[in-house]
Formats: sequence, C-alpha cells, structure tokens
Amino acid sequence: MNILVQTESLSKYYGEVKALKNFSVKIGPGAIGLLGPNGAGKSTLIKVLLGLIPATSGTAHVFRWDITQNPLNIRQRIGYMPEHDCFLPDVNAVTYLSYLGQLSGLSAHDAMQRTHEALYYVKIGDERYREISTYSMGMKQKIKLAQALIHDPKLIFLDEPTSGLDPTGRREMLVLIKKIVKEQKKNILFSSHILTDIEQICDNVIIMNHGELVRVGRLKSLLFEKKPDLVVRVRGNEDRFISMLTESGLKPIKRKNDILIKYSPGLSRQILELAVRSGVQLRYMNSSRRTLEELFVKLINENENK
Amino acid sequence: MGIYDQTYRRFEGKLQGRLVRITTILKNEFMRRIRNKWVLILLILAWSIGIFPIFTGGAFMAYFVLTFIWLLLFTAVVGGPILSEDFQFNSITLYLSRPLRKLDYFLGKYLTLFVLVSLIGFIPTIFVSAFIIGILYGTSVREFDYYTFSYSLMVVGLLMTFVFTNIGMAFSAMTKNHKYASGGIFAFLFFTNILSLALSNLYEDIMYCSIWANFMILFADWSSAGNNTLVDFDSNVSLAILMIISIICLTIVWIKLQRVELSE
Repeated sequence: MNILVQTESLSKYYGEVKALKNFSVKIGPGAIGLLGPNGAGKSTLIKVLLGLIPATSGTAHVFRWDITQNPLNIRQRIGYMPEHDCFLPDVNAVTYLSYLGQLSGLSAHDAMQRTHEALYYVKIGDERYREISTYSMGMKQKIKLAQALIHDPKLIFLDEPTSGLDPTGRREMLVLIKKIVKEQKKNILFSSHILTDIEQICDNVIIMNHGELVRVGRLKSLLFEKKPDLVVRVRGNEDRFISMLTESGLKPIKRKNDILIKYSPGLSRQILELAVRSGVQLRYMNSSRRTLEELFVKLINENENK
Repeated sequence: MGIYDQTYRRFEGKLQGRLVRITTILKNEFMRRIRNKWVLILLILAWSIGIFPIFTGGAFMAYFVLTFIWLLLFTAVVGGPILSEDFQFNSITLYLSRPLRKLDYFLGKYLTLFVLVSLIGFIPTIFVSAFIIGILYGTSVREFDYYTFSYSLMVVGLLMTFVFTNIGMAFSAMTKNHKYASGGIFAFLFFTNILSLALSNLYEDIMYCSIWANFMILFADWSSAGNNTLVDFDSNVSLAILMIISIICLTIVWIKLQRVELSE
C-alpha cells in the first residue's frame, strides 16, 4: 500500500498535558477520517505533521520525508484548512489568496490565475472582491478551502471544515469535499467530531482519544461486525414470536420498529423456522449495521475504562 | 486557456525560490501599510512640516527634533501591527503552513518595516544632503565641511531607521493586540526621551538614556558640526547603547517567533 503518512511513537507534551502519546499510525491514500472527542489531539497531530509545532519525541514521515528534516518539501505538497479563522480583515479574497499562492512558490501571474480558478471551484463569485471581514461563515470556510487548494497539493488536511456552518452550508461544504476527492483525486485527512460527515466522505477512519490511537481501519469493516446481530421485522403476533425466540435460547431485543436478535450460529435458519411455527409474516431480515456513533461511543468508553 | 474556462486544474508550472517569497512579503505588506490613510497623512506631514523647512533655510536642530517626532509617530503606526496583527488574526498559521521558513517570514516583515521607516528616517537625508552639497558647493562657506556633514546626516539617518525598525519589531512581537504594540512603541520612545532630557540637569550622563540624544551625540561627533552642548559626551558610548538596544529588540523578536505555538 502506498503510505502517505507514517508516525512512530509520536508524542507531544505541553508540560504535564500529553496531547499526543506514542501515536503510531500509517495513513494511505484516499479520504481518511480523523475522529475523536474534543481534546483528543486531532489538531495537534495535524500541526505536528505540518511541522508547525515540534514533536516532543518519536518520528513522523509524510511522503517519505521526515517532518524534522524536510518540512518545506512536505508543506509544498500539503494544503491545510485550519479550524479557526485566520484572515486579515481588511483584504479581499483575491488579494489574500494570491498572496498565499505566492508564498507557496507560485509566480504572481500563476498565483492570480489559480486564485480565480480556486474561487470559482468553491463557488465564490463577485464577493471575492469584498473584504473578507464582510463574509458569512460559509463563505469564510470556502475561502479557507480555496487557499488550501491553490498550490495543487497532493494531501489536504481539513480541520473541522464544517465547523460553525448551518445545515445548508454544511451540505455545500461536504459536496465540495467529495468533489475534491472524487474529481480531483486528492487525498484528504478529514478531522472532525461530526460523525455523519466522516461517514459521508471517508473510506478509512482513525479514532483517537487523549492523544492515543484507539482504532484504525476501513469504515465498512469497522461498522459491519464479523458476527453480526440480525434485525427482523414481522407482521402478526409479534409477542408470540418473541416468546418463542426466547424459549429457543435466543436473545431478542424488542425495539421501536423492529426486533434485534443477538448473534448465534445458524441464527437466520432458526428465525425462519420460528416465524413459520408462530404464524407471523417475516417482512424484513438483515444484518444489523452499527452506526459510526455507536462504534465511536463504544470504543471511546472502552478506552476510558482501560 | 479560454477566458471562459475557469476549471480548477493541476499545477505544472515552476516554483519560485526563497528570495521571491521574501520580496512577496515585502511588496504585499508595504502596499497594505501605505494604503492606510494615517500612514499617508503622517508621511505628507513629515515631509512638508519636518523636512521642507530645511530647503527654505530652517535650522538643522529643528529638522532633527521634528524628524524624531515624526519617526516616533510613524514607527508606532506602521510598526505596531507589523507582527502583532498576524498573531491577533492567526494568519501566521496560514503563512507558516506554506513552504516558508520562519527566518524568511521575519526577513520579509523586517525589510517591510525598514523600508517604511526609511521614508522618514533615511530617504529625506539623501535629499537634504543633495541640497546641501548642491546649494553650498561653490559658495564662500569654505570652513564648513559640507561633504562630511552630508554623509554623517545620511549615516545617522540610516542608523535611526535601523534602531526604530528594531524597536517597532520588538514591541509588535510582544503582543497580539496591535494597538498595545503601537502604544508601547510610542510610550517607550517618548517617555525615555522626555524623562532623560528633563533629568539631565541633575545628572548629565542620563542623557545617554535618551535615544534622540544618542543620535545627536553621534551626529555632532561624526559631522564635526561642533554642538557645544554635546561635546562632553562620548559618541562610542552612544553607539554602543543604540546597538545594545537593537540586539535586545532583535533577540526578543527571534525568541517570540521560535516560540510561536500556533494556538487557537
């Protein structure tokens, strides 16, 4: 697998506070979600990888370059969309993005041309000539995304890109990010605590808590368990069906709209037989799929109790 | 590419080097500051009230006093926000996430402030020197060494620009609020000078605490202009004091930049 980012026992301490603790992970191409509660160390990890803050110990490589030896080569190929506002209030978007493009190494002409391309891409029209201080939150987030794209990076760090947006703005931002991944074939590291955003965009997730790695893997395999419970919906005498399930040694849980039955070997055949014997009509039967929220809460609780 | 085609594309062009990035900071910051109406007002006033009287036969001492006052105000206005705004609005996060060294960022900002301050501290001395040499050349003022006088004027002007730039950078680096930075620059320059001059009757050497007086001591010695009030002061001590202030200021700026942990 092509590894874009690799860390080995990466740690960052602020005095007594351990923002990152022996963090070892390999990040491949594609859209990777970086999940964790507030204070988990997501932003710290991004800043250490960018070389903005030095690590206390451990190593990290981005595009096979060491972050301490080659920070400039790394930053040349990375775009960064920070969580918080970072604009000078009295400049317009065109001037500011062109300036940032030139700081990335583009010539003045290329920077101006790519500024307009990036602003069109994020759907900022004539507002680009107004001062950024007059922009709405959604427009500011789009400007932040545009500045991360201007120098054609191979990997983009998105730190809470939907933070502070209303539902419409959030939807627009997620559509843009999906476009960047699918059409522009860019790799992204999407840091967020909004789980539905991660589910919509990312193929892989890294879950962290208190600076430590909790779980990493493909989202689909994490959500679909190897021994899945079954979700069943029936029409007819549901209570009789449930009591027959219980008598057979199964563990049914009646929920609002369906019945969840805990995994056991040969479960689906047993359910079919019991449905016939109890006289109910089986309307729906499928593996239960955990939501990312359930997985996240479970893993974080396990990590807290460790 | 047609003008109508605004698609976001891959970049396959050539990247510029370090020097271009430093000059980019210089150009952009300079244009941003010079568009400030207060900066333009101060520049117009400094040149018209402070400098032009020289060309109409005004006293040189008045020129130095006025230059110092305009330089003090100007450095406070342009120097205060030069670094503090980037800390205040967190734009330094975006700059340093680019392939830009902290040293390059510092050099770009320093050169910007140096060029701005030189508009009052150094550039006028070139015109004044040219005026002196041009007008007095061929006149009967033979005992007056106008070449040494002019060169000393320009060197002291350059030194003033250097020291004021360092002071401006240091105060700007110390705070996230550009108004506090500007206030700090003004207060430091104004009160050290006023108090030193006021107390100099009690203890003469306290004059060395006045930045303005140190420049006058240097100019008096280098130009042999023979200012009797400053003849007892040692220009080497003045130069040393100004250099120590500059080194302290630059050290403060460097430490603050190294310790920039880009917090939210």
